[in-house]
Amino acid sequence: MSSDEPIWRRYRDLIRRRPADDVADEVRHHLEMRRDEALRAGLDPKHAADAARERFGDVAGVVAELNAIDSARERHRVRRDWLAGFRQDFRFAIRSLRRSPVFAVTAMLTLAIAIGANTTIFSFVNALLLEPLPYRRPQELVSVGSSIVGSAGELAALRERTRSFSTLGMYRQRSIALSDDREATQVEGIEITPSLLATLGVDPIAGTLFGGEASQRGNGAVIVLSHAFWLERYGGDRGIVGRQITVDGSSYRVLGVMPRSFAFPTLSARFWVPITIDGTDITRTWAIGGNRFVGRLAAGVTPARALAEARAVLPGMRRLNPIWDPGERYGDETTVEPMQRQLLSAERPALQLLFACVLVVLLIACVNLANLMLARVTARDREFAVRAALGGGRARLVRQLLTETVTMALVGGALGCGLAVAGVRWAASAMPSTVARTTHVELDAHVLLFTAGLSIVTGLAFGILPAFRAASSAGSSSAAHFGRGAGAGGSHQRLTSMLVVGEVALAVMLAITAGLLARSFNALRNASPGFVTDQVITARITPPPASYRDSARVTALYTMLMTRIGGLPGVASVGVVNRLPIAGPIYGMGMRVQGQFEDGRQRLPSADHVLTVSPGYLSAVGIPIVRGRSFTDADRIGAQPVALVSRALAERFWPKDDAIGKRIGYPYESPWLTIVGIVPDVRLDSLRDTTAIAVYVPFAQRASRSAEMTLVTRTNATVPAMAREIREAVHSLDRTIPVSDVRSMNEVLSSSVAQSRFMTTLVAGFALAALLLGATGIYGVMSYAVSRRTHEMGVRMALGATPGNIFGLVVGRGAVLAALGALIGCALALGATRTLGSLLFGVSATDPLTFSVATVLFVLVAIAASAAPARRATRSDPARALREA
Amino acid sequence: MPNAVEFRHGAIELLILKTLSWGPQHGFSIARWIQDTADDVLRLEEGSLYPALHRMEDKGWVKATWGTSENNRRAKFYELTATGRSQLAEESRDWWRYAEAVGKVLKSTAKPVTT
Repeated sequence: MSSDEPIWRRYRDLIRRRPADDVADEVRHHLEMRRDEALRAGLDPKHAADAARERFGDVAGVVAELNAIDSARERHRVRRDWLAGFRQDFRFAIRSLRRSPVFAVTAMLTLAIAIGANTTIFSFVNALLLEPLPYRRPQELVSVGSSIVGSAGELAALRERTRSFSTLGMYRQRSIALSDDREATQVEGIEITPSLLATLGVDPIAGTLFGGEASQRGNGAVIVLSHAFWLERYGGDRGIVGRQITVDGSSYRVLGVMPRSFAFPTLSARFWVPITIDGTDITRTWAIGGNRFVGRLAAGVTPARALAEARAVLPGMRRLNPIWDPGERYGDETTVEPMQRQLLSAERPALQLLFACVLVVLLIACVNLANLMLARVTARDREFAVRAALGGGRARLVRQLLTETVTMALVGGALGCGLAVAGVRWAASAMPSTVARTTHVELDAHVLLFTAGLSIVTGLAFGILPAFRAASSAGSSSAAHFGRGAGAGGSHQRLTSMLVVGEVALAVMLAITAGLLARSFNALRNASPGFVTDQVITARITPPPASYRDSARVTALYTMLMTRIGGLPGVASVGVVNRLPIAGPIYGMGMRVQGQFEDGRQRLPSADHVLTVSPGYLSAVGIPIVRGRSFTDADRIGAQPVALVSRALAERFWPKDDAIGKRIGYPYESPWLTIVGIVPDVRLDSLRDTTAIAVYVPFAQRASRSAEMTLVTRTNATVPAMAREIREAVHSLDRTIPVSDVRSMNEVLSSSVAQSRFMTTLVAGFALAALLLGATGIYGVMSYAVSRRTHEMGVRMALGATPGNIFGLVVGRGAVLAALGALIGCALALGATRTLGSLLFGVSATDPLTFSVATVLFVLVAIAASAAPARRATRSDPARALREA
Repeated sequence: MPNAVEFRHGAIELLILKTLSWGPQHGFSIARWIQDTADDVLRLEEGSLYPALHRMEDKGWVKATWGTSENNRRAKFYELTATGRSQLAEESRDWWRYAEAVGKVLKSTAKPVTT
């Protein structure tokens, strides 16, 4: 076909007429011949022409058809030529890369690392933020939250009064003691309303889900297992479905097993049990439950509409609460947002930051590679000039160079994917527990597509400048290239200098981010919660509710336990607390204050934290009594109800008075608690906790019926030794009570800052990579500059410049470039780091120390990187340099 | 034209190939030759001749060059390629077999056996 046409015929195309004209000519020729024939037969001219056309048929239609056929043919030919050209470019690119293996390997390794890091982070971004949740029509699932109490009574009322939800349910965390023939273990899972589990639309791989009747009291003794838990504890035995197991001392029937991919709300949920809504127990139905409401929007309803309805309906529900008044603003700030967004609201900014950082690293790598390519292109000036002289088009040249860079990038990207597989595995194991367990993260089709696209864009990005540079040099007069080409070198140098400045700016920005995060982490690590954490060992004790319903029995158990443990050698003090601070949030509740807020018009104030403690707890964690007295054994059931409050609480409600002797109460009808002592403010939710309104209630007078407590001891024993002792002591009292989470308080603190540590490590790693890349870039540019200016150096030295002057000249230039870049980087950082907000602690986003350290660091690095080229410059022999003019 | 037979579409390419086997011609002379040789019995839609020619050029059966026709006008001349020649041989073979088979059925005197 056409590609076999001899060359000279191809050139004839240059003067060929347009294809449409050819078609017209061909048809006209036929019509004229026919007309001539008719004329010869004796018709007059007009009739002859008409007859010819008539005999032909639909002239316009045929012309159109011919044009269509011809243009299709032309398109195919062009496409074939283009592909052939591309194949040629590709072969040429491979050849040219093979000729400089060091450059090619360096480039591809750099790309592999940079693109691989991007792929790793994107895998997480994709799996956690972008992929829709694996439930039926996940866009309809919403979380309803904030500004409500989160109780079962509210749920029932909302269900009745709103039309926006086809299903509305709730779930909360639940911890159970599993005790079959093996030792009792504590397992974390979820209590959930049956309709909510069903509406997620995922079928179990064995058995069934709970039906609606399961949420009524009495039928609640069923449980659905997660896939991982089923494998772990029951070895994947399908026979477990339908069997009874012992949960919290009672018998539960295993109803089903969920598939491997099901993880609601996170992978750490190992079972699901139905919530039992006991309408008769008012305190449970209306207490703050830590429940999360989730619903499915009815057909055609948007979240905005559901939000409007919720906000309209909730205020009317204020008086439904029989035990306390949530206040006038009840329901005002309620939110309805897509469930996916709400599940990861804490991790989202961190992930986005990581993604941005890793893209910056890739950008910096691109700049370095662009500089390298520019140097190569300049070295091949002559080759390009010759090509231009022989008629190779500039566009073709650009295309060929871009093919080279994109090929390198694709190979680097493929290698990067391999690295990313390992990277994802490492990151998933190193990431703080809540995030990594949300879903399985892997390199799926989306991620691979992203990598391919990113590789191509990268190749184009670092190839475009060198390609155009090559094209422009090929276009200019070829004679110049056979000379010294000093002029071309000048513009090249300007370009590379600008690139280096940009590179340093980005690297400095990254370094500042890393610095701020590091300072945050340091502040967190050194933050004291306000109580003693050294030599403090904790253990979670979870008596099975079935056998420990009686309050007195529970109190007796713990009293005996504390006596036993307190008697051990090395134990200085022992106590119990209902929830361990810093290990998780410490909930509070609304609070009555005697003599204040009693007119019923204002919303009840809330205590941020309410803790149930035994007398020994305060001494175990070293919380002193500021004023008044601590709890004693006399503070038990039947005695006057008492409480300890934090200093912040005392100052808030009785700023001018002594809080001791004043009374506060639970937000429902119950006896007043008399304040007997004041303790200092300590951090309770986490090390970042700034809410300090806290109430301590004696363990023996607690209101909750939950028997779970955390044992806290101050002892010089090691954790394993203490774990053994505690287990022995507990099991000597009752074998069925699980002991879990035995760890030192310092360990608790350390895991609470795990996310900060992880982020800091990663970003610091990126910043280090950026630093290395920046240093390499500066070194490269300086080397090149020095090699180009040997003549100039020679002249200077001949005119009396000392080696020291030359050295200073080169190093000075490097330092100036770095300083310029650092300044721009700081300016960029000033804008960008504001978004870090929630991730920082104890340091402002515009911290001057971090900014200046980053700047100085990069200037020093630039000086170091310029030193070697500078030394080389001073060694050049002036006489020889002049001769090379 | 009395008793003109409707032209079977697929056969046009075969006729063009045959016409060109005598040597290169332009579109008009191909039309005229077919008309003359078939004694004007075949009613050829002249409009379908040229698309057929262009398609055959695309398929590589014919090669086109521009030249001057007998009345000194610019005309597009078509000539058979090697592929075209083998195509002609194959298709005319098929055509004769088809015509023979149809003829056999039409000439049959025995009634078909019904089962």
